[in-house]
Amino acid sequence: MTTADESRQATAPVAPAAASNGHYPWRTVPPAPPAALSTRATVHGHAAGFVTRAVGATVDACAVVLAVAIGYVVVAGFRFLLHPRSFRFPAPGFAVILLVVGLVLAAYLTVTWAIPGRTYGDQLMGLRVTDLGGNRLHWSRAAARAVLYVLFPLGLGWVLVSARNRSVQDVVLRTTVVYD
Amino acid sequence: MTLAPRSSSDVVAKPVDAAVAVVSAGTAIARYAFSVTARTALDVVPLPRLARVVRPRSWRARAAREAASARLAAEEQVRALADILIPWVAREVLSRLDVVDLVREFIDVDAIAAHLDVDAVAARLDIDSVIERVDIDGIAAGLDLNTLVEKVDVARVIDRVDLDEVVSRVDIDRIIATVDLDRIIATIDLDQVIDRVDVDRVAARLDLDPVIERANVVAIARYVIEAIDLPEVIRSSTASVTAETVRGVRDQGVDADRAVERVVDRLLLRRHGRHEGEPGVRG
Repeated sequence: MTTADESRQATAPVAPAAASNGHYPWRTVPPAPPAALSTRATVHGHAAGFVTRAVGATVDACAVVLAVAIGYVVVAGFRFLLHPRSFRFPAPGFAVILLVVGLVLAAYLTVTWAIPGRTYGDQLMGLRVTDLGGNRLHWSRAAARAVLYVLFPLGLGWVLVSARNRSVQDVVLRTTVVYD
Repeated sequence: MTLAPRSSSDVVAKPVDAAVAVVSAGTAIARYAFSVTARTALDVVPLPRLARVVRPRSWRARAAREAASARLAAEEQVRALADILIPWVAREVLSRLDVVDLVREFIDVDAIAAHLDVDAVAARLDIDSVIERVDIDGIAAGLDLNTLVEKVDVARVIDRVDLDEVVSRVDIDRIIATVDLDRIIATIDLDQVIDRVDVDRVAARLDLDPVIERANVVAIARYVIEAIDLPEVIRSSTASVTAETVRGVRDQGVDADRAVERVVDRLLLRRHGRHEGEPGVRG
């Protein structure tokens, strides 16, 4: 069939142009669309702004709260299995909850900043926590930064004012958050 | 019945022999008639002396012997004469007669044929010897086959031929095995054949519905899906969609950062941008 088609096209004087453009549009490969220049390509390595960092921190806080809630359900389930007759949902006080959430959040932030260099919220927003030399944080600095964030989360607001987009914790510990 | 032609000596000799025979026979008959007449006269006329003279015992006996011998001689003469005369007469008679007409007129050949036992005659025939004596090659050589064939009504012959029976006896497989299809195909100019085919018209006449009905489209679709690994395509597509979403969120975050920074810098009356002098900052 291919040979017949080709011979027919060869014999028909007007057919090839019309066929290639009109009847058989699939024979002409359309040019590839120009790759859209991502905004992030221009800000790679820059200090991240307040919005992205706040969104990342919120995501991390939500993840930690969710993890604590799941842990609460797991603990309650174990307690139910151990004492089904006298089972009651555990009702910890606000301070306890706050303490647990703070501890979990501090541990989570320490591990994620020390090992991969980014939390889940940072990864979602394309951020990475480094020292001023661009290196990954050491465990001690990561732990200190985590504790400071848990104790004084409002320190993130300094990013709005800082000329280098640094939070209070960054200023204290000489760290920074950059677009990855 | 044909008579042999007579020679000139026969023509002369046979009348002479006949005349001698007639004379001899006439003499013998005359002597016999005289003796009979004399005996009868002696019996009728009482002439003892004459009778004694004429018919003495010895004379009578001698006369009887002579008469007997004469009779024998006469019979021989007559027989010889008959042997000569009868064939001659018969020949002459038959030469003047149309025997075929006579037979046809007086003889009922059909009646005679009806009495003939043809089967018995045929049974006594030695057909093999008859056939051996027939020169079939000579007959065949003398035949004008072209003329014979021209006289044959071929259409009628064909009508009487049971072609189905003929075809059923033909070993088609053996014939096909002897055909060299490759050589035949090599002699065909397929391009020329294909050029003559109006593919569009053929395609227009195609009824694709039965084809689709017979084609196991579902099986084909499954095969295609397996061949192109559709789940992997879907996974990669989903991953690309997710990546696009994440990229969009990040880009929007960067834009929001820039907007907020511009607002704050304007409020703080900051003249220079935040990122000047940073490593990697362009412009």
